[in-house]
Amino acid sequence: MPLFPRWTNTVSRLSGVILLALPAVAIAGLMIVVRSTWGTKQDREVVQPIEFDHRHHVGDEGIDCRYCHYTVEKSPYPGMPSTTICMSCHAQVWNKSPLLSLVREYYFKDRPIPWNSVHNLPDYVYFNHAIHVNKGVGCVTCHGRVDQMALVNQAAPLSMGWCVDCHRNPEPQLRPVEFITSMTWKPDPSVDRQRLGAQLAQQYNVHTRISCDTCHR
Amino acid sequence: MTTPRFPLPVLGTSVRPEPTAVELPDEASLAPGREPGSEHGYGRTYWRSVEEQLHGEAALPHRDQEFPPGAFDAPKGFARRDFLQLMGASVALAGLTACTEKPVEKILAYTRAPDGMVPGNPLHYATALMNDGMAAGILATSWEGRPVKVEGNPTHPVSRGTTGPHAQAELATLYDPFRARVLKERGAGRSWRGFREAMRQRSAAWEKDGGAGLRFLLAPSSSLLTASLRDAITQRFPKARFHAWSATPRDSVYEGTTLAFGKALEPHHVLEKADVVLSLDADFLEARADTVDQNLGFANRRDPRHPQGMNRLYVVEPRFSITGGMADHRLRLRSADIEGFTLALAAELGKTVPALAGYRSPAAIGGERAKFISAVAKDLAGRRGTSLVIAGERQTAVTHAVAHAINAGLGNLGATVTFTEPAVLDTATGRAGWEPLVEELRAGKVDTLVITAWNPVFTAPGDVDLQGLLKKVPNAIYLGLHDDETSRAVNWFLPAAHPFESWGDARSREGTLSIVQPLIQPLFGGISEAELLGAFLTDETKPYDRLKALHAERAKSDFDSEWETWLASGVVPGTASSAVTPALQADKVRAAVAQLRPPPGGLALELVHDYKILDGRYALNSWLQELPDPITKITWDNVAQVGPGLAKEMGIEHGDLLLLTLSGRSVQVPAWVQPGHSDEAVTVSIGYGRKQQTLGVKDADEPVVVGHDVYPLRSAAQPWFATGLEVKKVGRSYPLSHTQVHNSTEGRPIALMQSIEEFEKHPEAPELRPPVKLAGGKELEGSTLASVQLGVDYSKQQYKWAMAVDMSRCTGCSACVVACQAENNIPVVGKYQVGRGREMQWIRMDRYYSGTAESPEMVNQPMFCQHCETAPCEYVCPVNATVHSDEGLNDMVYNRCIGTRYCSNNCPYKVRHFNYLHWTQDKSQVEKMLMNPDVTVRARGVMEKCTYCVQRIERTRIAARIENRAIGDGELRTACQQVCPTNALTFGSLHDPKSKVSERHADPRRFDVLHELNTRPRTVYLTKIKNPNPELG
Amino acid sequence: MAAEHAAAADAADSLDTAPLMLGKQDNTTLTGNLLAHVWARPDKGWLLSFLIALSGSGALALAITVTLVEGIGAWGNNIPVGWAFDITNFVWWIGIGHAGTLISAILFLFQQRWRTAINRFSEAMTIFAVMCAGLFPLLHTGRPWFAYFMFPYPSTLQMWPQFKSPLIWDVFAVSTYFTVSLLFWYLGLIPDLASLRDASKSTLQRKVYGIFALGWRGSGRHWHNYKVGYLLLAGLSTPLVVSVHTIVSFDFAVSLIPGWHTTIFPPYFVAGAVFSGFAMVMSWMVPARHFLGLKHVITMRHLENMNKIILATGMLVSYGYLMEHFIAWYSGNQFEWFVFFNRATGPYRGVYYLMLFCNVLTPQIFWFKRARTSIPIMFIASILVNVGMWCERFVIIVTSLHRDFLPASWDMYYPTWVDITLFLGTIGFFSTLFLLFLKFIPAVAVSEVKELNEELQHRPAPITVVTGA
Repeated sequence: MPLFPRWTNTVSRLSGVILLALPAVAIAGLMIVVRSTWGTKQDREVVQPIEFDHRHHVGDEGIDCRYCHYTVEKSPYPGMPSTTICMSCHAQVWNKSPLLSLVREYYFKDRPIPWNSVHNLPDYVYFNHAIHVNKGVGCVTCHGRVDQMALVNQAAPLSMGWCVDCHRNPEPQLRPVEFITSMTWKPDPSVDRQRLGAQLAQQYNVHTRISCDTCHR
Repeated sequence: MTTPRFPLPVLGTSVRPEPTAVELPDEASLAPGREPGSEHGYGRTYWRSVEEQLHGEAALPHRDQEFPPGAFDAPKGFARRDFLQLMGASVALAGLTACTEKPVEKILAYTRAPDGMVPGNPLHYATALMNDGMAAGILATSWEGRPVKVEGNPTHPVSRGTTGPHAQAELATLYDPFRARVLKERGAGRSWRGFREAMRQRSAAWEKDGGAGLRFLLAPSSSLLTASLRDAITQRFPKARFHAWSATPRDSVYEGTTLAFGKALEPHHVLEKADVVLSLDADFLEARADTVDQNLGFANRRDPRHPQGMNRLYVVEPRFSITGGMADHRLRLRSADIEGFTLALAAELGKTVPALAGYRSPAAIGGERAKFISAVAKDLAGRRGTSLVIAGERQTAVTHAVAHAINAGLGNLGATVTFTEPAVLDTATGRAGWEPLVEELRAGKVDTLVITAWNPVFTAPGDVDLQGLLKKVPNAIYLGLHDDETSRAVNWFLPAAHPFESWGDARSREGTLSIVQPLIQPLFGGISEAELLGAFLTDETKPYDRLKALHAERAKSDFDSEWETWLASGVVPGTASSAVTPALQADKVRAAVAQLRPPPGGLALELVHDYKILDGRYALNSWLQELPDPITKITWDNVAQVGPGLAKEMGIEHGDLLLLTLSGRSVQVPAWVQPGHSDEAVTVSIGYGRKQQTLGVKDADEPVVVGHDVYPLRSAAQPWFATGLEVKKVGRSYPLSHTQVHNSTEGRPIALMQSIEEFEKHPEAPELRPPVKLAGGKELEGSTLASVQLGVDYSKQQYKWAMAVDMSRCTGCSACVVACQAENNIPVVGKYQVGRGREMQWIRMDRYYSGTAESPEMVNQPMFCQHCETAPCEYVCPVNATVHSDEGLNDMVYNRCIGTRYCSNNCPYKVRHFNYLHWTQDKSQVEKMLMNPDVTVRARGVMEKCTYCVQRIERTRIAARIENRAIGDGELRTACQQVCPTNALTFGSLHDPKSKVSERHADPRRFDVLHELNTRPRTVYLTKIKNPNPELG
Repeated sequence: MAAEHAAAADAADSLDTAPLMLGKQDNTTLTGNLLAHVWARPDKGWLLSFLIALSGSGALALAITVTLVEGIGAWGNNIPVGWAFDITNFVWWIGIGHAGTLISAILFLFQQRWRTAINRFSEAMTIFAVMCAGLFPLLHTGRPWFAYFMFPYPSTLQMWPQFKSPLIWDVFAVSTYFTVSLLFWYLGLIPDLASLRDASKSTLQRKVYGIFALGWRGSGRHWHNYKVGYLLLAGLSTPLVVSVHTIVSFDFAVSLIPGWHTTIFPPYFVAGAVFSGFAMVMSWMVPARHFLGLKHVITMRHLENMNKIILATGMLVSYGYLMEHFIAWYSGNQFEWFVFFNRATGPYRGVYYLMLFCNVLTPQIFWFKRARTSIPIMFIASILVNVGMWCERFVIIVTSLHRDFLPASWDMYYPTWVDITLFLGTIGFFSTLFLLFLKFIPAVAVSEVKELNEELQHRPAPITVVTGA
């Protein structure tokens, strides 16, 4: 009577295969996960304290981004609108709407609205809105079609690789600054995108850097 | 320590009215859930977080949580980095991002955005800081109402855009979480209103007797607001008296002028005009707030290319001071003998200068000293009108008077030394100032004593038992930043508002008036001196209104608009006091001299104010405590400095505890064998020896005694030096933490020093430079980050950042070290860790001695990352965490660093610093407010080093690029360069041939440290040039 | 002893100073007495030493925990001394690992018969030593949890390791070395595991050994593949013997620190490694052959040969020292010269002189046959050499760092209790594994010894290496 039954041969061979396959699969899996929209948090739904709908304000009303995000051209931060800005309109329109009751409460109690931030860069990354907006990188390029978002979510992976790709070859992303906030601007199909980009880069004196200290300080 | 609560920072422009008297919470009302302070007159109050607002303190995170401190703090306003910087860095750097979901960050918008402020861009406010009553103008950088950096005010005549170490470290005091928070009566919490009520009741009695028992002991001040309040009080209570007290009095200066010119005057030394300078125990180069301007004048004349040529500095002093380190010739002398020396010099000069005929030194002087005197006399006499004799503040009135006489005789009055009326309110701030008060206290005549001077119980001389005397005062009131010896000896203690938290005004040494404006709402609800004095008046006007009313008549046209400009520029134009040209009362001086007797011989005790903590008022400032003393390089301690001769004779070694006994009183102090120190004296600095808890010290959660208290040895009669000292070895040794253990260059050509003749004959420096271009004419470059940044041609980039250090100018004052610490969020590690070689300051002020131990020469070499073009650190890093930027910066990427420390091992300059422990952990909310949001806060296990202030480069670059222009030379300055009182540091782009840094790189004195390693540093040094007198050579 | 010398007299080969095997052995006796110690119930001595070793491992675990919780600050390292005990231990352990591969691979290829009895022993030692060594490169980083940055993988950061850094070379060198040594050792084990399986008393033992024997039946085909594999691995690991410590030496040679930046380092490190490796084998073999009753297969001949190698490598190391100092003087480079001056006169001179005594003087005693064949002498000598080699690494690392270019940056290094516990802990860990090895696995390659026995009996028989052709 043999020490091991026959089927153990299969088991031993199988275990050999698994032994080799397991690490490979695990590593590959990790690679995939960090690139997935779950890994980049793109699919994360961030609920806001107030049902603010960009579709309505940007899409229907066509309010320029800079009306509310007013420091985007001069500061690293885009500028979250102060409640005064909400009230500047909503003192007149919808000033009885229950949807806005919380806004009014915050305003009259003089307390800030606790928005939840959607685009979260690590604190060792120093992204500067002003320089990008001034050099022809449109809002839509990174933030996506906000005018079609009921609830704003993270449109781009915001991974370092994603940043660096554009910094290596910014031309295709550049647009005339007069359309900087436009959600719908498309380059005239007759002109070559790369050439247009090159021309704009020239005009705006775009000089992307990829040294570490560009973002890490 | 629980999370401190504080109202939020001042926001918006500076014209906001004074806060209504802050309702100081009683202990009870400090309970969680209390509504935060309402309108403090500073516009709206913004709070840290909704949680706090809705659920009160309880909702705020506490330190006993598993995540790094602040992990769940909601940020305030837009400044999400401000409060999250630390936590963000620690979470991310500690790698927790790998295993925890980062909490969703809150973005709290303003309800009403303050005008004039763009969130994310700092604002700068001009204000002033006082040192012993004399102001220096400063600019404070403020992030969303949070001052995080202090710079000198360029428009201010004294600071001229620079500061000393103290102004830089002031913020560490402002944000000190151990500051007093509660107004107390005999230990029980009371409210400000309660205090005022109590005073109101007493005032009835004072009004009857005219305030006969009402006494004030104030800090030295030049504030006109204080002056007006004092007048108002004396009008109400004619018999009330004001006294001023400082443990570092300048009385002898004023007594000296009184003796020489008949009235108290403020001397100003125009060092830029002086060819020959003699310092009589005067450490005039120590960069104190009130004298920082002298450094630049002096330094400009250390440049061999200066049109008037180099100056020559003689120093006579007992200890080895910063000024002594810059001297071309130095004579070791007990302070007590300097009177005699000065007279002997006058006598010597008298031979050639008729005005000085007839002076005679009480004791005969021979040998080396006589030689020195004759040489100096010759030199001085040869430079009439362009020479200068400076007497030190520790010297006697007579020394000062004779020094004035010599200056007068040499025709220097009005040329190299000018005089104005003193800016300070009291010229007697020492013994003369408070002797009468002490008498009254002894007699028990004082019913109410209001103390705003810093901690007099601690700083009182050993023969005045102020603590005991205060017991006799039924109503003693003390206003102080901290709970200290004095606060425990009085029955009313009021937490003081920091100068950055209150309105006021101050005058600089030469009279220029600055308005002191608050940069932030009182963090702990402190009270300003003006508010306190106001409590003794009937009208309840706020200091802010008093101030405006007081200065209203200064306005030439529209007051409000001028007021605005005064605040914006930081100075009130045309307020500098006009120079007076006094006449010397030669006979009076001679009369005073005639009574002089030679001092007794033997060992002398030399007390000096500490370079870092002065009389102790900065003892709780961790930045200054950790700053290595410029001479001894000791941190967190004071020492008894003994000369090499005495040390040999008594067998004293570093750290031996000595028992110093003077007239029956004795203290124990660890010894320090100081080269160049007098063998007839022992020097100890005052201000140490208090049990204290200090911000940010890893190994000191419990209060510890820092240093040794020598005030007991001090006597009211002889505050600075006394003979008859007995020294005994205790037989025990005391651990000292110092940052430099080896003091010689071992003959290595790393810190060059040449005499001017040698230099003109044959400058050594050019031999110590690398070839400009390598074979093939290719410019060398560091390893670029191949995976992200493909090969860059460095010569093609827009800028080529570089630095140059003029060692001729550098005095070693170490202001740059503190400035760097403030700008770059550099942690404090504490005495124990410094002792283990883990200090973190990015600038190491290397100090080397040459020559004999008796009369050494000192050279200072600020050493920080050299940004080598072929950096040895870069090719050994396994993960590309330190790489070259396209503009030649040696970037250190904290978030990529895994901490192998190979880069530091391979750095020939050893300028990299490693976070051996989590220095930035467990920071309280207040400490976090100190952080510069533009710089990552490093966590445990990462390497860090000088970055050429890359955050400033990038901000300036972006600003310039938005305007489509290039960065101009001088537009961009590093923190160390900006603060340097002597312009020893230059930073700029080498691609601009006209830039200052290019000039210095082309200077014949320029050399590269360790050039033979071909590291091709971007930071270069200029040889230190000395100008010795051939006669003494 | 006397018995061994007597035996030496009637040696089979008159040229052999001492026989490779004592007495007349045949396969049965060999199988019996070589596997005996596996079947024997653990005696008090073994238990006691195992307990001590185990507590050592416990201390190691503690020290590691403290290091991870507190940070490197728990050690004595500082600036300028960024590396100290950590890397010293790393290099020391890696060095010790060298005897194994050298004996099993190089001596095998050179057909040194005497290696057969001791290769199993020293290969095991290699593996355990490399395990200890491997701890330190990971532990010494400030943020070990990011150590994966050192591996080249396509990251979303688009970042790669910095292949110019010797530390990256280390990662590959050491891991390769470990893998190959492990395979080599295990391959050699298979036939013996099989014989253990067959000799097992209980079914459980049989099953366990059976699983590890991977179904070895000793068929001709098995033996054939076995020989081929063995030869291939021998060929593979031969370059590794040289490469690993060469690359470890690059960690220093590549830098520009005086005392590190030396072209002689690679050969000098390899020699040192073999030196310490053999010493360590010796320190364990002397007691082991006594307690496990292996004197008849591990004879004085083996020990003497090893002592000769210790002497030879010792001389190489001494030559290395000599050249270092000569070049330092000859170069006329004041920084370089100062370092060596400082080693001899500076605050760490004690360690320096201990190193010279242990590594230069001690091996000289093996010029004398009496010393080469004296058990106590060789035991003490081997211990001394181990101490000396540790001191050598300490001297190289710490004295070079603590006083380099700018005197203002000079400072001292003092170890903390964590440093010391880590070091002693690894020794405990090593001993634990080794004692377990001695308990459960034949300490001598039985099958190979049998083979050798055949050869010795029917001589002259050339040793034939089946190449599979």
